[in-house]
Amino acid sequence: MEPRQSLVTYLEELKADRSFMERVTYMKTMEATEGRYAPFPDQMPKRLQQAIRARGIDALYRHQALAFKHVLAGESTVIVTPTASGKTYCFNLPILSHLLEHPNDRALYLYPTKALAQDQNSELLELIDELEAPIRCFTYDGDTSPTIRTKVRKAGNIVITNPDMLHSGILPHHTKWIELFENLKYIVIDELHTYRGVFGSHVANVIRRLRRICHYYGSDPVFIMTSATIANPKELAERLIEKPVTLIDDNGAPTGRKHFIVYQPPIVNAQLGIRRSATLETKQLASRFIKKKFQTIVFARSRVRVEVLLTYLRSLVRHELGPKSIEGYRGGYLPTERRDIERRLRKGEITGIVSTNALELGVDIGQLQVCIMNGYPGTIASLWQQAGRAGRRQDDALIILVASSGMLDQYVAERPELFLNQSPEAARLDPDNLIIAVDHIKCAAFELPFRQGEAFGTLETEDILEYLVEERVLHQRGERFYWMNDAFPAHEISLRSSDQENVVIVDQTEVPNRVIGEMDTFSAMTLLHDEAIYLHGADQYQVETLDFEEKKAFVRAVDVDYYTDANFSVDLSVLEEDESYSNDAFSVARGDVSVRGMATMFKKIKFGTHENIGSGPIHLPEREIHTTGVWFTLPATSASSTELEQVLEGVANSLRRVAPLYLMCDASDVFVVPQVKATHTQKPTIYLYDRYPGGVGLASSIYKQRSIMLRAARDSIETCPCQDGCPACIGMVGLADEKERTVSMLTEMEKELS
Amino acid sequence: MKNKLRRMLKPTNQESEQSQTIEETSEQTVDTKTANEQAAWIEKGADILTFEDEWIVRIDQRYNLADSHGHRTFGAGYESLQLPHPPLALDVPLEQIIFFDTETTGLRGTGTTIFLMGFARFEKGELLMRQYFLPHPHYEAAFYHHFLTDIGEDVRFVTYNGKSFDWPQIKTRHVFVRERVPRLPKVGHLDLLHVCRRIFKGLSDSYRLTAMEEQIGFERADDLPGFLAPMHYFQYVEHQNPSIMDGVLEHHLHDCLTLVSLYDECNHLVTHRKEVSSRIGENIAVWLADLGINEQSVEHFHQVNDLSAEGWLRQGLLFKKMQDYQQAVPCFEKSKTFRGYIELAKWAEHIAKEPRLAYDYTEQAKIMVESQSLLASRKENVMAELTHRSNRLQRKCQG
Repeated sequence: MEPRQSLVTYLEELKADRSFMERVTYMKTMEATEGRYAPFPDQMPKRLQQAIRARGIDALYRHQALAFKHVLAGESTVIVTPTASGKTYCFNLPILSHLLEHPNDRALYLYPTKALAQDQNSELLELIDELEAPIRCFTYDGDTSPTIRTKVRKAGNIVITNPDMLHSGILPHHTKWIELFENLKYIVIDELHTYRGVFGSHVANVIRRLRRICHYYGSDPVFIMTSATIANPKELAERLIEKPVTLIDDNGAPTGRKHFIVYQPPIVNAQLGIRRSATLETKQLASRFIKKKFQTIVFARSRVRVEVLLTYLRSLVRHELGPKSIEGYRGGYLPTERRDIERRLRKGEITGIVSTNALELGVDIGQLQVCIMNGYPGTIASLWQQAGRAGRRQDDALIILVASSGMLDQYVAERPELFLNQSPEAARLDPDNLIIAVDHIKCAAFELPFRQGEAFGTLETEDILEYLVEERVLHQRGERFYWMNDAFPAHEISLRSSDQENVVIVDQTEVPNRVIGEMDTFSAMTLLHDEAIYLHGADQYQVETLDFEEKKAFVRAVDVDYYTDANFSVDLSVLEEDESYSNDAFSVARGDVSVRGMATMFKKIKFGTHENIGSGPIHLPEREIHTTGVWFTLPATSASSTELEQVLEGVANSLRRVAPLYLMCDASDVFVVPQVKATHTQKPTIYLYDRYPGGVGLASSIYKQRSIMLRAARDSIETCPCQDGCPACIGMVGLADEKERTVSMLTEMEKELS
Repeated sequence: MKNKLRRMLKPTNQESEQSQTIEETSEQTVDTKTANEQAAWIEKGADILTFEDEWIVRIDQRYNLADSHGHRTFGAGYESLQLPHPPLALDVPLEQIIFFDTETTGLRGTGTTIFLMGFARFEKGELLMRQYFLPHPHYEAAFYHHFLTDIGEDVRFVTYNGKSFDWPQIKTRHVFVRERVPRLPKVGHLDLLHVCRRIFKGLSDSYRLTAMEEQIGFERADDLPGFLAPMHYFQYVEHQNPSIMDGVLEHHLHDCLTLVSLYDECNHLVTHRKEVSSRIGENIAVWLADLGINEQSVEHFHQVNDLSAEGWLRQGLLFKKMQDYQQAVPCFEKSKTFRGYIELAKWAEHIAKEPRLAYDYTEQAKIMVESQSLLASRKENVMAELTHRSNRLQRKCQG
């Protein structure tokens, strides 16, 4: 075997490779930076200082020392630093310092997932062990055995859990946790940036309930939050906990040298601006690095992509490295499978890993050398999180963004300064989303009766409480509202998706009824319909039947050379207009809309060539949601309806693609529907709406940022290298002057509606 | 705002026919309403108990010991409580033993309120049946104050699933009023659900309390199913009319009385005062053996005519534990299970010191395992163990 090459020398080799460099449109080396340090604070107990010293650490990073100071001064704090900057010390050091001196006090740690909670627990236990202090630390989640649950409740100084467990397992049983709530001094919320959109709006309400119960037991804990880089960490933190928050974003940790490359697949159709598939390019790049035994992580944007790439890569290196050296990782794998993969990654047994953004979060998988992103991950924050997976320990690292033909990708690839220099997106959540807030007010009323005039966080409750009385969920007597229902409300509310239940995926191939995964009902409509090809662990399954009533999909292993892609059609009407602005014949409005969605048909797409090789109908019920939206109304023109339709499509497609850049959401969270003659306005109209029932703040964000979004949409079409419009810019092959007309429509909209 | 709520939360809009009922009674003042409510309870023979500015309802009924519930009288239960009977022992004065049950608004969680609790208790030569009813969720301090004061500081609960349901729920709700009412007493607990599961094992698909009433010969007429109790309570809270609660109160009363008779029945079975089927006899014997009450267990085994294979094995193990191999060996032989043969092999090897015999028993055990349907992995383990044993024995025979 040839001796292992260093990444730096291999990079030199690559730079000399013309065929590689031809496709690199951007390359930047970010030099290593020195760390900035501060001495151990005086308030830090000697034994803790010793324990840290024993780990070879003689000083804190500046941001750690700052966090220590503010937290012990009783300020709620949010710390924003990149991956591998020692952020856990920012909260562990002040909390352990406090607990060493106040052994009866408690702290609660919240992690977005069980896996992250387990990681944190092992880390803390190690440190506590070195301290030889009587501090007890436990995780509390669905897997915690009943025998130790009592111990956790009565004696856990530090309880590590997730928001879902807090919501349905702790708060509704708060009387069993008196010791915790009476003595709760600190609450840690790690990975703050994940609390956005629907999930964030739910969690903000769970925090309202948590603070309400703390207040009942006479405690008022300090919050310590950490976040990946986003534009508005302080705003997000304050929105989430509804308290003033101190921001610490002065990173003092040293960083290793990073080489950042934007890689453009070659153009295969100059006229249409179509490039070769990014997946094919990713596959080739990844196999290059994996064959050289550089530990490489490949991020793909969807579960399907992960499985497709995994299949490709495994077959490529099977003989050289063996199939076990490459693994996939994504939601839908069972927890035990995931734990095993994480462990093998840390031990270096896995050379290549293909993942969705599931590995973006702080799951400890050790250091990797190369990170390849198959397409722009959707948000700048994600991009940096993913990039942080490479070179965690002051090592040279290589990060490659492989741009797809998609417009957002091209837009970002053309303007690397967008993520390199500029601050990333703002994360939004809306704790006052009516549907979400009402659900949590029910839970809160179950936990403690409401008093008349009592606010729920910053939300007035009067109307909602009266409504719940009318619905016979609550009973009012005098000044109080009592829970008067035989249900357990927290069980009916899931924090993670708009749907309460997941579809269970049942494999029929060998043993009958083996459960291999699950999926939310909304995704199931397009991914688990009858005859869909479901990919799991690089195995292909065909869905035999989807029992939508019983929430079960029965699948059987198959071996075919295609995957399936479903169409989703929507019908839309306006319920209520909240605000609007008009100028001339143009107007824009925001309000509530009703959307009826239905999966209609699916296509079979051949691997490799991406040809359409067949299709079939989908028979699933229509689903209706009420949500918030924004609609742009344009003047009726004399243009033919086909022409108008095409321009509307063009505007809609370009808006949809730039929306995620400004809203920090998935491309699938905002839907855009153009209508030539809308029922509501009787004029040409483009609707943008929030996928989640009730909306989570995306619509008002769009309304406020409309001019910048319209400009970005126009810009993205103008700079597209195609001639008359292509699938990457206006969403389809342009006819005649369509590209031009779409651009001028966007220009006019921006002018009239700013 | 409310329109928005209704639209968002109820897409299939049912017209709001409900809002009218709420206003209709609002002309009356709160005071007259309360007075009417209390008067209606008193008319039903209940007492109104007050505490601070709260009040609750208490309903007492007394039964003569000659009265019966099912095929025996309360007098029989009274006697049973005073017999020595280890597994069902409650070694406190009779006034400290309560046959206790609750009715709640839901299954669990902090927001689930207990609105009715009560007990049957022998005192002064009678059976007192006492129920506490919470007329409004706000009056829990009064509710727990009176209940806790009445039962005293050292009490034994006889319940049905009370260990994991009723008592934890009381603890939960007590937290809300803990500063105003007495502390929770130390309680001993006899949970008849666990007792019935052992005694009537294999005889019933369901161990619900009403299913057990077959054993005591009690049949309910027009019983209100327990799951409807919360609905009745919600209605009561809205309309304050005591007759809404009639069915629930009767259901709860029967639950408590059934506990008395069920206790009596179990006691009869355990103390050999009633002819039992082989199945029940064996169940009791095995249960007592598990509890380590060896002598009584032996007695029960002896009275069973027709033990199952498992029963013979368990009896054998009991004798083995008591080091009575003379009795244990025939039991293992009659058991004819692979585990029985393994026990025989151990005995033959280590006690009787006859390796050849032990070898034969081991081979016998292997045949039994082969013919039995066990989990594949377990079968593999057992076979490996047996093969190891028989190899060792073979060496011993030769050596």
